[in-house]
Amino acid sequence: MTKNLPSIVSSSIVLFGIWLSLTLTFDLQEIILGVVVSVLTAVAVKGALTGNLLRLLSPEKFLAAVGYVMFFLVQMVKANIDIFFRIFRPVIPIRPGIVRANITLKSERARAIVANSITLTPGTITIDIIDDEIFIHWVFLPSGDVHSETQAMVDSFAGRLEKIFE
Amino acid sequence: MSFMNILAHVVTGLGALVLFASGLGVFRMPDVFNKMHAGTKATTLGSVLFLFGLGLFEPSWLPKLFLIILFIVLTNPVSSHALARAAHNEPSEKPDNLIIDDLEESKGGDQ
Repeated sequence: MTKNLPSIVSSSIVLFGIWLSLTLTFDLQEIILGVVVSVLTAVAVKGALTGNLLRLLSPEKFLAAVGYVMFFLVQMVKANIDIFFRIFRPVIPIRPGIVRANITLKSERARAIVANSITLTPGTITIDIIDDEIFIHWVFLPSGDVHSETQAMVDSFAGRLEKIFE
Repeated sequence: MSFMNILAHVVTGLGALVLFASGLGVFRMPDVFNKMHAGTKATTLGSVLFLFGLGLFEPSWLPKLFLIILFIVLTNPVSSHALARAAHNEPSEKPDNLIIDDLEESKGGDQ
């Protein structure tokens, strides 16, 4: 119980935020009910919904998290511009292939974030993670050594997340 | 017509354009994995832009729309992983245009 306390607190806060944006009222009765329901739900799932977010309160980790979100948003817009101009060509330029790369992150949550981020960034989707290897499908394989290029792309996400999760 | 209203029209239109490109991509791409590229990336940004544009029309909807955006960004890639894995496990769906396929090799090693 005490070990899970930070996770339960952060889950409660996130759930309460969801409650507030859904009800959109600052009526005292609604808020009290929201707090009760959020805390009960967070305790019931032992905080597994968010994990421990309280460690983001340290300034450098918070900055790293904001930096990651910014980096991710830029990559996502780039991915869409890339796919947009690819689709409207008369002949779609593709050179597909599935490439493996190593992933050193230990936390399951961090791995899920890396896999999801790679799926939403230019020209790559994650297909599978087996043990410490992540398999990535390229719509257009990079020229040169595909394995080192893929590893560099994975590390650009994993390295940023390491600062937050370690 | 206020500035906010014009901006809302532009953002919503942009979202619709990206969603159209996504649909066209699913139609035009030759095999299952490349269809997934169009179907995942473009639908995510398309939906985000469209919902955000709606929020600009009605600023009081923004908190709820933000929740929907969050859920779409979190869940869209997960469904794409599930589909891609299933497609790779199904031999009849496997495209023959892959230049390199490390996953097949490592599966062959396991069995």
